[in-house]
Amino acid sequence: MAQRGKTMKLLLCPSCFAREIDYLLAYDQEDDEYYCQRCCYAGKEENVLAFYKVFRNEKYKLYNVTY
Amino acid sequence: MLEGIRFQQDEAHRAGIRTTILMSYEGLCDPDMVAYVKTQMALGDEIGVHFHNMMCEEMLPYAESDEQALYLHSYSSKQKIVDRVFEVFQTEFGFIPTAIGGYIMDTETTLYIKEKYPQVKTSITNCFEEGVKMFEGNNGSWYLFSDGGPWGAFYPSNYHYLAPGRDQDSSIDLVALPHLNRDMVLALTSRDDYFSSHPANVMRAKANDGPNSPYMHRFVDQWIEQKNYNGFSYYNVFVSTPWVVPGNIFVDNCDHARALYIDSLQYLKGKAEQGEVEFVTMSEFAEFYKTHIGAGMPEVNLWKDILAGTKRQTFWYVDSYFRVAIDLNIGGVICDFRPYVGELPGDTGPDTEILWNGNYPYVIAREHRGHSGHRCVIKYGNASASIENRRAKGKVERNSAGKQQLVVEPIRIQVGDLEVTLESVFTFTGDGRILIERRVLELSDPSAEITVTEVLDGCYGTTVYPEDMRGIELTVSSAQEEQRTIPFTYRSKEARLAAPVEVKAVIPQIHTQLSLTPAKTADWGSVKEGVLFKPYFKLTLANKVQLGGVMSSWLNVEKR
Repeated sequence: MAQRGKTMKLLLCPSCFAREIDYLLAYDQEDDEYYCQRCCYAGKEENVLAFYKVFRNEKYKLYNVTY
Repeated sequence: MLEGIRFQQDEAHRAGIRTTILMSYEGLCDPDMVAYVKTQMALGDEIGVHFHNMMCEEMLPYAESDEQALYLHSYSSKQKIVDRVFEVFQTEFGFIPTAIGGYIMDTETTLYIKEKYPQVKTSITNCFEEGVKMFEGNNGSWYLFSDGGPWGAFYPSNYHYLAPGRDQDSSIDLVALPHLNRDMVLALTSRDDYFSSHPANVMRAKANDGPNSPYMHRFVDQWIEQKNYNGFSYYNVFVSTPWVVPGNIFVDNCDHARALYIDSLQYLKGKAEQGEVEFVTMSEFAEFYKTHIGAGMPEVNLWKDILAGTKRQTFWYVDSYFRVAIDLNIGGVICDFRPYVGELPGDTGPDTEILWNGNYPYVIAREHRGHSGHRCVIKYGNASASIENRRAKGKVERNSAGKQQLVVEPIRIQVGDLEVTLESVFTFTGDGRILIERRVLELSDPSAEITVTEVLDGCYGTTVYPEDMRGIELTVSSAQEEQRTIPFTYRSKEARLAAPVEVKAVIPQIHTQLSLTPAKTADWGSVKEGVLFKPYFKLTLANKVQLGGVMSSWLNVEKR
């Protein structure tokens, strides 16, 4: 279960997620940047979402495929 | 909570589904929730108890600690909590529930409940394959270790909550159910708490496509397919309420969560209209199970990769002697083996030896202990090759005696300059044994003679770390009544005999003996101990085979 309420938006660290670890990103207002307190990932919201997209397209090849 | 359950109930009814509402103690202490649930009972839904979310201010005077998990309380505290929950339930609803559940309901708790509240017919007792990987994935925050049990319904034994009873005498008179259905490939290769019959988990895995999830449809289809192998298939949609309300903690849009929930039920409704699915409450399923399935009956599962779209398949078999998983992605290697014959205790809590560790021990668990496994190696001259380097496909069959079989379709293996076509057949005889046959169907040089070797690399444990192997004894016995035994001392000693009748490992730590025996004869057998850098024992049986020949051996488990 992800930890509650640590960020402006609830975004999982994509790098940890790729290793099947749930870790919510923290938000640095000064730099307007999300960052992971567990690993060395940091990025804007759009970078995070793009990471998810790549992950899903590369690994879950059938996630949006309807037969 | 009310907003969530109202939505869920209305959608379930719209799909023609009567539900089983398992009330938490927190819910039982909420008059609005109780009043609402009574309205649902009047519509024909079943009401029962769930022991999660029982720790709250109102429970503190009854429990011995503020531990949130029932299964981690002491036995006396478990009794007090159970009694309090049943007391409040009876006060509010006027009867004893027949359906209950928890994430883990260990044996002592279930026995106590059955003795005091014999009306209980069914209980959610375990979370299939939630253990080490789930713990790591949740940052070590979720102390639930339930690796090694059946994935479906079973009669729990009176010694371990994950081990099915062999007969009526050794079983608790109650139908045990898993918390959720899981993806039976990803249960081993991934975090199975992501890929289950709770659409919120699929959302946590990001395996949904916004409000749609083709994966969930295929998931349901795979469970329906299991009917072909077992005559029935148990499937549940177990849903908590927080995920369908705004601000849910599952990191996705609430509208998507609701859409996924509706879609999962409507898909099942369509299957029901096609006659593929029948909707029942938990207690109704228990009645079906008791009428049709006897204690000790085996169950199999053959599952294919429906998310990543690879060729991967995993086969599972379980009965009261053992649970085994065979990975077809590596040629049909036994990748997980849990021998239940040791009848180990599985009760958890501060007054038990195992404390938090409800996992049933393995002797093979490739996901945790990568070198363990049972495989076939072919030798030709100085060259050798293992089946694990070939991807295979499997099919479930029954032999003439009605015993379950996994047939691994022929694979071609290059051994030096010789190409070998090999078919493997696993027959589960239901008495603690597996007959393993390796049929040599083709040889690129028809006059060649090859050596087919069965190799079992075993250990024991419940986590990713090695346990102390000292105390294990490895023995090879021959037809000439010669016998050599190696006590495990991490010195890489080996014993080898011609014409073996048995190679075995006695593992006193889990009261288990694991052995390989030739179905007819073998040319030689060996046992070998590992070292600290490779802490496994190796059992080997080998036979020379020619074109059209078969190497047949038994894998056996016994209590020691």
